[in-house]
Amino acid sequence: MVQIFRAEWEKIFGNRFMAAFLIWIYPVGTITMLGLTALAVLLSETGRTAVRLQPPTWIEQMMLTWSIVNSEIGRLFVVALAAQVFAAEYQHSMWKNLLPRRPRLHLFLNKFVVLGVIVLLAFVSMSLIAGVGSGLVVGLAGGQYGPAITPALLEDVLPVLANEALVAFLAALVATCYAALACVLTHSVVMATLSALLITVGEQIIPVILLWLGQLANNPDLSRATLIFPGYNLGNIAAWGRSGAGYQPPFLHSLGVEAPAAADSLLVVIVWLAILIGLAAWHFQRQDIAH
Amino acid sequence: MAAVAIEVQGIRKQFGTGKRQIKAVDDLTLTVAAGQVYGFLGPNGAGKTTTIRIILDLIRPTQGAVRLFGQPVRQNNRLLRRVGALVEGATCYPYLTGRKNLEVLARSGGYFEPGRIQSLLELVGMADRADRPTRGYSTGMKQRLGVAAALLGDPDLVILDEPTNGLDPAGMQDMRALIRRLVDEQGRTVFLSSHMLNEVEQICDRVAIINRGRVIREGDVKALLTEKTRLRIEAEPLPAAMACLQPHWTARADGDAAFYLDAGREQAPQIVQRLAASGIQVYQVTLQRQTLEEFFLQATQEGA
Ligand SMILES: Nc1ncnc2c1ncn2[C@@H]1O[C@H](COP(=O)(O)OP(=O)(O)OP(=O)(O)O)[C@@H](O)[C@H]1O
Ligand SMILES: [Mg+2]
Repeated sequence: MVQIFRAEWEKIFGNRFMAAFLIWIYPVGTITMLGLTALAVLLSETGRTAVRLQPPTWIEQMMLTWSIVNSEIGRLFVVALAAQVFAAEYQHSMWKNLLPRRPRLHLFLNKFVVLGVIVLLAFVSMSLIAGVGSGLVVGLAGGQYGPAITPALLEDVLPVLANEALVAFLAALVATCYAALACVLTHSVVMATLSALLITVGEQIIPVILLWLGQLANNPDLSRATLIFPGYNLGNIAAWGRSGAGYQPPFLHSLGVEAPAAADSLLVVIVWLAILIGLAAWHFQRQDIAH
Repeated sequence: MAAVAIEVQGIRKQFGTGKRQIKAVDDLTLTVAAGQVYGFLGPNGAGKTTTIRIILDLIRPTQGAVRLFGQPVRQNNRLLRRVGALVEGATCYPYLTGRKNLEVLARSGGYFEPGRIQSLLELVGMADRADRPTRGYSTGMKQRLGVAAALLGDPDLVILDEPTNGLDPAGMQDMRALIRRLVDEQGRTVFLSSHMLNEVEQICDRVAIINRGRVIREGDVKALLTEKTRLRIEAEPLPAAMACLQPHWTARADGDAAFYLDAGREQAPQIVQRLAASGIQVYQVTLQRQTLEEFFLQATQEGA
């Protein structure tokens, strides 16, 4: 098991171009942003004053990275990475060399595991770098970086950060599933990236479509179906973590629908993951490798 | 009875549907005993690669089944771990070096060993170029790497789909010697597809000739070659000589002074007597063994 993990890992990082743009960009991009801010602080008096008078907190900075990761743009990088990783075997006709060496399912699921670990490391390192690096920048400006870390504060903050990380990780896995499914169907990096992005973005506008369909069919209850999609449930888990209340957009509010508990949403997302991974693996299992 | 490495039982494979449907493999049956080099000979598009993919469980046959070492191969990956294969033109990750490509494949199979990779690179003559990205490899270099990749897991059965494709003449010689060694010295079984007759003649013990997805001849290479002989007869006058024999045998002119007759050694005295009785001058009668090339052309035409 360790060996196939390493094989996948070496393949991914051996493709330097891809790794630079889709993985290293998280930590290196954060360092670059911090470097630019540091430069601004060093070179301009106004910059220094601004930071000194209103220094960011490490909590803000760490949360900021998670919101970047969870944005549509952030999702794009994950989708592109997953599409590359799955489609590379078709693109380079390598499945024929790999499949006789291991059961198909092992090789296929291994990709999810490796991608999950890489994405998690990239996200967490980005958040940590932002948290620590911002302190250096504030220090350069002569400001106070806080708040002071106390056990009580950590007890408050860590669960919130962990919840953000969980949502980011699950969202990345869902995006990976879309990409994997698109890869086994299209065998192409470009097609897979495009279709997976389309699904990822399409999923965001499902509430709008349901709302519109509901109006057409004169049945506003159709909007309730929003609750079964992963996008809503991920948003709901995130909302519980941030504000202690569920995610309740106006159209659900007007229907009198209560947001489900975070644990229920988590279950829905896990069921989605199981279905999507199962579907992709099932299709791959019975696929002819004819190229 | 000798152990059986591969049993292919009545496999069929169709690609596409309706008018575009192609029967790539059409009721193909084969048995490959262990411990030999078995040739799988056929023209382009005969269905060699498709058959190999079915043997490796990469493609599901429309009908029929494959057994390896006596057990069904379908969904039985443990069996395939005893097999090493090079299928239809070697491929690799272009951004990795040759050595890294082998490492990744070995790790995927769970049998990574740096020493073995080095010795395989030496075996296929790629040790000095192993640390360059394969993006810059020539077809022949990739092919050598592909053969090394097939041997990574120390397989009992080695399946090579046109292994000498893209190799230079010296490389071909090396590869053929290597293939013989895999069987003669290391006790493996090699199943090798080729459309090169001299290759099969040189290195194979047995051969199956396939065309349009079917086996049209199968047997010991030497026996197949001697199975069909013919006589070359120099006689005068030529038209009269041919006319005299044609009712009994098939004759075909070879230039102005000689003709071929589809007949064996035992029939030579009788033929000479007939010719002499008709007053024809016989200068020379020689027995000719059919070349595999002629055999192949004839067999594939018969099969068509
Ligand atoms: N994936 C596929 N889709 C459609 N047709 C295919 C596919 N693969 C093979 N074929 C067809 O099946 C037939 C057999 O092809 P195959 O590749 O097995 O032949 P081959 O004997 O290996 O030929 P070659 O000597 O050229 O390698 C050909 O007519 C080919 O066009
Ligand atoms: Mg072929």
